[in-house]
Amino acid sequence: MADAHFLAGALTSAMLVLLSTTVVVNGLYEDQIKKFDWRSMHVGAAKHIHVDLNHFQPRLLLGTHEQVVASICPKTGEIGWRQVLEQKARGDIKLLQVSGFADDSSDTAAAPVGTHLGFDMLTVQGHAPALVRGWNTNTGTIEWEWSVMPLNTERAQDAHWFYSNSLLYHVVPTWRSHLEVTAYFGTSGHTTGSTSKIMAAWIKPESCLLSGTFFVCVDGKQLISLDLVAKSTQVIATTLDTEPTSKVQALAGLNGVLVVNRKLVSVNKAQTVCDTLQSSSYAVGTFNYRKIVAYGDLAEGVLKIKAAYLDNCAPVPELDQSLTFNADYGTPSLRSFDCKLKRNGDGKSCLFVFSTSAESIVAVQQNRVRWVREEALANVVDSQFIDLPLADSEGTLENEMKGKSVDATGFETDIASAFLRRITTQAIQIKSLFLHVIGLGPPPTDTQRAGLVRDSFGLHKMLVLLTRSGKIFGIDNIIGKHHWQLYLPNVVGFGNDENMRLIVQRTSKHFPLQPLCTIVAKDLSTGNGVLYRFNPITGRAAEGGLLQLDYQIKQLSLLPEAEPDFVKGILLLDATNKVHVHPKHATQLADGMYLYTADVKTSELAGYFVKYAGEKLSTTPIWTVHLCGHNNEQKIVAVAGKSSIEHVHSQGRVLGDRSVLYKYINPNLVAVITQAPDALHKSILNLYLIDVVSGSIVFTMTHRKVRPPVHIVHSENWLAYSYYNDKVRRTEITTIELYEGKTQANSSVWSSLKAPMMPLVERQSYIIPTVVEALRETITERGITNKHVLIGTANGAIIEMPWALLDPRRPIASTTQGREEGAIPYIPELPLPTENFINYNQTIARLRNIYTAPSGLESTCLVVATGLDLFVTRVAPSKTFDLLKEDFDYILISIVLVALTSGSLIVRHLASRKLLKQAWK
Amino acid sequence: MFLKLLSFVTLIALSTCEVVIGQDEIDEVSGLYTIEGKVYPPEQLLGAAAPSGKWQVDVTLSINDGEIKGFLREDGNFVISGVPSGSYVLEVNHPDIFYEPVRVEINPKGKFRARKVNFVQPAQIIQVPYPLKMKPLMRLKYFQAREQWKITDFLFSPMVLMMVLPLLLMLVLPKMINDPETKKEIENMQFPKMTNDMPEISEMLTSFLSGKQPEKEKKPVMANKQTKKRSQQQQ
Repeated sequence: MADAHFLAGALTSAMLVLLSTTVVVNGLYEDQIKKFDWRSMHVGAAKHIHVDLNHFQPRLLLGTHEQVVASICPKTGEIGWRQVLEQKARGDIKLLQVSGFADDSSDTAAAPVGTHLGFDMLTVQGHAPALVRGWNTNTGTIEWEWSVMPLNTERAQDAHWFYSNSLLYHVVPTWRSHLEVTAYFGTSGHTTGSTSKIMAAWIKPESCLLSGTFFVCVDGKQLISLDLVAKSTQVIATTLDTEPTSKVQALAGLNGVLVVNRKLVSVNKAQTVCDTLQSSSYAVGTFNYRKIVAYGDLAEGVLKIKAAYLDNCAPVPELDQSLTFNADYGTPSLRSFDCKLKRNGDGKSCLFVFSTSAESIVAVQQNRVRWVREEALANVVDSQFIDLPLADSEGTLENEMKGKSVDATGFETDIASAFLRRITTQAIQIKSLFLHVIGLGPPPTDTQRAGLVRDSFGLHKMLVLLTRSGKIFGIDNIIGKHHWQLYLPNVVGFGNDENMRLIVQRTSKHFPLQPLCTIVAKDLSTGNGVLYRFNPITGRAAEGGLLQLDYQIKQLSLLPEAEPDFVKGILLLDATNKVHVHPKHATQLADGMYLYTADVKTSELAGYFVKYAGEKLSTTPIWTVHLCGHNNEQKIVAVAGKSSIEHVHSQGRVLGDRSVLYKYINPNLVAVITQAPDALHKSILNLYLIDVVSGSIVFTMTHRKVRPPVHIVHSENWLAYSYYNDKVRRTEITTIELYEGKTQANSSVWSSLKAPMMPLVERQSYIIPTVVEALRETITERGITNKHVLIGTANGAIIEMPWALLDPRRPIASTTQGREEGAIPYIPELPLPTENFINYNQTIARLRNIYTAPSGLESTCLVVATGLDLFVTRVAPSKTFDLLKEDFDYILISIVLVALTSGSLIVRHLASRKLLKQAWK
Repeated sequence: MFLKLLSFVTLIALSTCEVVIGQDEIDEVSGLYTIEGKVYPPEQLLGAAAPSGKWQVDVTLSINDGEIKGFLREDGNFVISGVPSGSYVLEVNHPDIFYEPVRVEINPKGKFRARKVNFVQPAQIIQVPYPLKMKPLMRLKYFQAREQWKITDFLFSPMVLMMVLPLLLMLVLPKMINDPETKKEIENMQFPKMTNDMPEISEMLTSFLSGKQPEKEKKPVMANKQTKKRSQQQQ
């Protein structure tokens, strides 16, 4: 008996060793680089653009709203180098000055690169402190850096910077009072001596801007301006024809020139402009050694570019261009252009660079679009993997199967017709195959021609990405090709820090019905809800496309599938707590639904019950929970529910003594984390697990001296969240598992209203030696495969962390029970082996979120990580157990097979000979 | 008044105008400091796989998940300016090379101290020199090694063993038995097996797959034959 026990112990410990090895070794092979994954790099919507084709290395220098500086190849649009600056206010690029492009062409361009005297490109970012950096534009390395900390940080927020005559000027306005102007030597940060204070009572926020060296304010029909570098501080007033209707913009490249009501206006006496031109966007440059102003306008889908010489306002016919402009790019505005310097250029070398309202960067040359960068992808807010449609032949087969399942009751009587149908479909298939072979078959559909046909393992999908600018992309998840794009102007995310949503209303499973996706957003001008329905495979509008709602959306939920069109209805809760359903015919299904809302501002959760009576829906508020604390300081920082498509395969966990601990699997459980400042502990974090149907608080926990960033992942019966521990200055992850106990209250249906008593809670904290930016669990078709947690870190890596390592039941003391359960002994610091980095050296700058989706294979989970870059891959948490290994030795098995058969034949021959010999004896 | 405003410049002492960037100039007004150091090139670690661009561009220094960042000069030196006093973990990020992070502590008086990062025991202090010297430690190993094809692996693979071991048993075992009686016995046992003509491979397979029923049927026949043979021999 003791021996048997010992044996069992030895076996389990052997298993443990096996387990821990499988846990650790889960990496990629070197030959799998870029086989399942791809990355696209982005820079963000352009803020400053400089094209320079006459440099020995032609380049396009960018400063973006995403706080990135980059150099882009003007020929291809590819990134030469990129530097991702600080996030938040510290990285906000205020000024990007390229040497040789000063407004008055008198600067330090002659200074050699690599010394402290000159610079290639200078950026000013942030306001408190303001960082000034000089960049080497050929390599992307920094040359020098200095910083300024203003005394009054609030005032410095509105500060302007400009560069003139090797001096960098810092202009700090004190509204309705005065301007403080300090000049610095650009490269060193030394002041020139004094800060000048210019009295100007006419400056007001919202109406002032800087154009070159001129500080300009709009006052009714007047432009009041002041030259900040001039010896005399004389205020110049320029009268306009009409009051400006839109925001007045400065024209880069000309000192003191502004764009007012689509026209150019100069407040600088030394600078004349062509005031007859009318355009929405202008850019200044040189052509044939003469200064010109180019302007581009979009009219009825045609982009027209024109130019005029600045000195005599004569048009430049060589530069006239017109091209059809794809509406999906949004409204373009000309930001910069350059031409190769030649005596008598024909304008064919000129490259015009536009930025668009859909955050694209478009380069135009010789009447066509040379390249486009889709920078909207730097801000993905939602994503979905959509199954591709079936091939036509499979589709007919599917139809037949469906027909069979529908009249399954009359199956026996209908057996003859079913057989007939089978024969005819097969005949049709053979015919189509034959026609296809001889080249007479029907032309393949668009999607098929693009290779968008479902594969046998369901790994090939359409990745639909919704971006913050309202642009939607349909991307092939295998090769990364953009199949379609859509642009919805005038939509924004919701209040309460909620983004727009991308919802799958009908999947691809209902052939011949096409899949249907919906975008739920807020209208920019009215604040009301907007629905946009489209086919995610073709990217075309469906069911009427755009639908403007006449109410604001507060909460949304999906209903079950409705007959006959298999559409999942969307249940919307509006600001007045009324509910609406789209499409209308699914209204009945909303009966008995529960909804909850969480207000970030007031930290209040509320639950509603939806009733369908008399062909109308009504809501009843059933519970409210106030998490704001006794002095209203608690703020909700994270809310996490469970994935609606999740399957839990295993209902329990087998313990060391062979009994089962049942999981507490409550699909209505939502985790809410609130944070509050505290006098004693600096900052307090509270975790609440709330059943959002009944409103009961299942569990609460408090962390002291802990602060955000908080990231949370909630699945099955467990929860993991990361936070920063201020006391010991490190990031930690706390994991929680909930168990019902040794018995299960109701194994078939979960009811929150008849829920079991409080669950057993297991909890543990781990140190993670990195900064967590995103957490997500892997998800598979049936939930049989182990769940791993994908941890996105601040330096752009995604680490696949097995749950066995995060398990709160990891025993602290090495007990036999824990060992027999297969739990690894507790170690406070989580190991981060580099083999588990699923994106190896393809780091994702500013990683923001990770989305996962099941594939057709149980073992494999599809992953897309978004941030500034986009990374798509797949992971197999328990290895690809349902596929032959990639390095499966086909040669070995065929050799063995051949050897076995031939061996047996030879042996048979030998045996018969021996038999014969023996017989003769 | 104007002179007062001047003092907000971080790196510039008021009295002298000659200040080199990157020096530990402490400005008591702003309370911002400059961290400086040097990152050593990882070229020897990258080897032939070195990307075409400059390694300096691939390196970023970050504090508090990129709240404060630093960039490298071409010679590998860096300054991170505008840092308030506090304790920071300075990470050197390179996609392929591991540099050890360093905890930099700046006290409110502007004293710098750099030490090793120890998350598990934060009280333990191992100082490292300041200005920082960040040396590449190793190349990050992201990939598992594919198993190489080896003759031993081939020989010890279950399929080969399955084939070779029975063969050995068949050939070697009969020769190992010294006792002539048993030897004879075995020969007699094997002999009749060979007499009924070898079953077809397909037949063998079906019998193997569908359990051992056909064998059972044959056994009595074989036994009969054996007894016959034996009786013949005895005669």
